[in-house]
Amino acid sequence: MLIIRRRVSEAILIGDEVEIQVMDLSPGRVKLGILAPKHVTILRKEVKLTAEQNRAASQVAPLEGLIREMRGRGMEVMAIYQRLRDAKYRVVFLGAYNVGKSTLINAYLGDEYLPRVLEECTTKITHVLRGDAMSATLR
Amino acid sequence: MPRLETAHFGTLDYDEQALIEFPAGLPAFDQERLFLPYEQGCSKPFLFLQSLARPDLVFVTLPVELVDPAYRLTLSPEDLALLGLEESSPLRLGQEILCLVIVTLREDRPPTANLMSPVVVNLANRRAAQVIQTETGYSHQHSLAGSAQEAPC
Repeated sequence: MLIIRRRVSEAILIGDEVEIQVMDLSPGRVKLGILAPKHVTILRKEVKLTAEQNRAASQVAPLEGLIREMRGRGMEVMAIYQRLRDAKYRVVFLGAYNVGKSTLINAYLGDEYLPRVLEECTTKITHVLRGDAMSATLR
Repeated sequence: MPRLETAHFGTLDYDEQALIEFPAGLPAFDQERLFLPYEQGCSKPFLFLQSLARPDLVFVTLPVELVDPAYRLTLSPEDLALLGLEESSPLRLGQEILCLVIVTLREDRPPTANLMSPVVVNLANRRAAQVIQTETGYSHQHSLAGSAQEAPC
């Protein structure tokens, strides 16, 4: 790299057509004046880096991969959800007569699905399943 | 409701109120003014900026606060004017403005975020600009390896 010291109002020439003059100095900053023909592009370097980065970011091939991966993960979440929704887990309530098993189950389910009386009522093993309509089956 | 054909997301119905406008375009994409911010349920926290004019042009962005919670955004008087913001008005991320970083995805390297040139959106008038940060020394290729990519689905 060529390094040249210049004072305010002094200039350098690049080729025959480009002149750069030091206009002003302040701490940490320099103001430059540039004379150049129209066909010469002058950019702050950050703008060029940003332009290049924007071009790289707009490349679509990896994006396809990302979207595919997201779709894939979406399917995974759906699969877990369906497994949870469709699978049946058996929860067993055991206890002596009249301790409140049915009361507890009714409280969990939010309604009086199981009859509660003081006598022995649901003395057989009772299965409670989720269904579309209320129904009872005796076996 | 207007429709938009896109190369990556199929046909999108959108609300014109949702569009954002870059009055000055973006470096290397000076002609692209209108973008539709778009997110798929499972793509969060990524936000896509889909060009309205070019079906194949889309930028992948992340809210800057997810990449660097301590990010310091500097807006010059010119930036404020371009966005239609007042110098005195409060600028809170997610309230008055959005600050998004453009993510570059590569097949062979970890993704990077351009912290040097965030996209700032004025939520009140939906004007946007890519604002180059010259003083704070942020990288235009900040590595996202192991952070945002593993964000929960």
